[in-house]
Amino acid sequence: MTTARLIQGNEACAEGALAAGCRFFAGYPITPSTEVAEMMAARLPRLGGKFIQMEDEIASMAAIIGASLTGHKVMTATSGPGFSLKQENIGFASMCEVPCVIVNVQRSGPSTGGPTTAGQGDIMQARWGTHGDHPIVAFAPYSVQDSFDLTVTAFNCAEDLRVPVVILLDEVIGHMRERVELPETASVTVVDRRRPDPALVSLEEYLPYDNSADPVPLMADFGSGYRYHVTGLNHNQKGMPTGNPAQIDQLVRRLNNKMELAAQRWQVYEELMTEDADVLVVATGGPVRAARSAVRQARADGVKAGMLIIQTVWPFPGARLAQLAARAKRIIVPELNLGQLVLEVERHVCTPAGKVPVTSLSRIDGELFTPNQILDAIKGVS
Amino acid sequence: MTSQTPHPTTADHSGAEELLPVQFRYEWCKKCGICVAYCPRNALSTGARDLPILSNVAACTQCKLCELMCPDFAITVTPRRRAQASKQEGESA
Amino acid sequence: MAEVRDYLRSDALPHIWCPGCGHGIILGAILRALAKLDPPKDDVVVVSGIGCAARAPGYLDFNTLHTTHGRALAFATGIKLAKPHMKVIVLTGDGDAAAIGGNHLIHAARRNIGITTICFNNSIYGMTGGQYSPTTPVGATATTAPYGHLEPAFDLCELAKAAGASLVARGTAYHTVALADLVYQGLQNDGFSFIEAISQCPVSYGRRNKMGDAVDMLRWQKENSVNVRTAAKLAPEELQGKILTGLLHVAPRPEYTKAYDELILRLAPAKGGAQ
Repeated sequence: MTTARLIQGNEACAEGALAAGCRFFAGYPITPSTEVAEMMAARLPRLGGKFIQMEDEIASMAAIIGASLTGHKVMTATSGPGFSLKQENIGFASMCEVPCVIVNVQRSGPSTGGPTTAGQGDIMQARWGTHGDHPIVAFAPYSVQDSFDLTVTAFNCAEDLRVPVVILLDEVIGHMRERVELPETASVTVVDRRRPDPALVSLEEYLPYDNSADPVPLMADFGSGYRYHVTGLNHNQKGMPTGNPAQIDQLVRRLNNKMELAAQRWQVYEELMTEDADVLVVATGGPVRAARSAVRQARADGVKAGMLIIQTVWPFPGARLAQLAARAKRIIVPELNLGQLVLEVERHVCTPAGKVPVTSLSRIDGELFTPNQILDAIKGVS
Repeated sequence: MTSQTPHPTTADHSGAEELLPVQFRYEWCKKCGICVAYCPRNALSTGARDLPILSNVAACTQCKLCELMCPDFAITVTPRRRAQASKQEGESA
Repeated sequence: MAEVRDYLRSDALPHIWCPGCGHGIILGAILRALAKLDPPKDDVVVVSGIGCAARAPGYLDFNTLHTTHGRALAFATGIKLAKPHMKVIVLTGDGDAAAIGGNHLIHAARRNIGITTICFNNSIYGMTGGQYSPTTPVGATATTAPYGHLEPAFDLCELAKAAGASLVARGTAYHTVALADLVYQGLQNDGFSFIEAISQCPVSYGRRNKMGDAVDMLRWQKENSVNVRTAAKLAPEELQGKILTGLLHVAPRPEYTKAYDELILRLAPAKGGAQ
């Protein structure tokens, strides 16, 4: 049983969070993400959940990490400038393995840029915005329905792998309204973090950062009876600071192995007519719709075009892309930036016969691609 | 963090060491000298390797100032009565 | 009554603080206050940012969280709002609380959220080798003020009071017994409690500013402090340059997480109730 609603992407994202079990939100107003916070402010107390508008973006990120350590599923929402501010604490969440979801409704940039115009300039920042070698997962919905679905997936991934997860919407997806089918909460598949069982694991035995745990260490709630230390410093399996090179190496490698785990367990993408595609369009988020129209029109015009719609941006679906590239003659990557996703595409499309030619299509004026722009590129006339 | 090798503690107080009202945990002591300076009865002094010792047991009133002022949690003060009672228990056992 | 040593993670000691550092004395005072309050250990969360003072939680057998520089109060706010029944304590230094953390300090005070904050104020950035902080006095020498410091210092207690803290107090490492009592009162206050604890940094501050050793610096604290009750009888000139100690400000008002719980109760009675 589903309920049909006409809502915007930001609302769908908030609905997805609530359906996934989110009961704590801390945020700060910033266009074009503010509706997510406003909806959570209205809905959470009615569900016994907690909402707080913190004094800045940095504090919002800190507050959700604190709440997650007590056992809550947590979320914050922002846009480019706020995403930049959050990076230090995102790194903290990654290092300390605290599940959390960060919504970034991208706008055109850099800097203050265009708060109400479209952009995808944060694709690389989503992966590398915080310092050091760290695991992080990022999803990018391409429709309002996808905003709901991928938000649920984002929470489940965060709980499964004990990682921060970014959801990359953009101004257009966030603010456009479409009809969506919202499932009943009870029918939504929800993943909870795996907690230690006091009957099996004693307080003294518990290792919050157990390097041998599969897939990730068990996570005890603050206040549940397991008392342990959480620090962003290099730490041992008990969470205590360490300078031991072997322990540091083991920790950082285990953390970053989560990218491989994410690729195995949380790689989401869709394919359109890829079985015999000569020209492969690779897109994520906002440009997907125009690209899809272009691909269908190209087929109608006799060009064997196909499309890979990337929904898990990080880890990047390099393996699947390499398989598709082996059959393709050309690859086109339309992005609302000067070429970020295309860098990942390029490094995965080297075949024994040589590198498949890749065309980077950019639009950075705050406007969307038209289907014809992408169609021209497919036909090689642009 | 591993604790340091304990310093020898019994050199000056052989046998009766565990019954003294002021106990030092030398592996935590950083020899700052605060306890020696603050004892109002001059019961503490600096001994071998700059470590503090309870050199004047009779002067100690177990006021606990050394325990309170020690930055290293390295001092525990036990009231004399309890220390005496423990000694008597130990002797009759 | 619990004992201080019951609260220590003994295998993490000895701590990293320098010989004679006041932080260990202050931590002892805090633990004696906790021993008197005697809460269940599982209900206590100790949060810190970055700096020497911020290393304290690692030595304590509670739920402990060592976060990013200046942000302890923001993390602690999330914890307290999520689980209001927990006893949330923030241990911070002068740089952590008042420089990078200043914004979070004033907002936590404004909200009057039930967190007890103890600021270990040694007027320096000790961990990084002795740079000036927002509480380093004019004329002092620091590695980033090699010609004498030009900036005046915050009065942290005035700042916390102006921002809305419902309990503000100041103690010193020297007056450790009084400090424990002030921390105890702070823990009992249902709201934002700010306790400034004057500490000595013999290595990075004392040595550079010719203040002698730890014993000398503690004596300096004694000689330059005036209790607020005594100060009331003194003339302003006599109080120049003195450190005002004691319970400085008490103004009870609604605590933030309670107000939010009341909101939940109003909107969704079935979902309400303290967590």
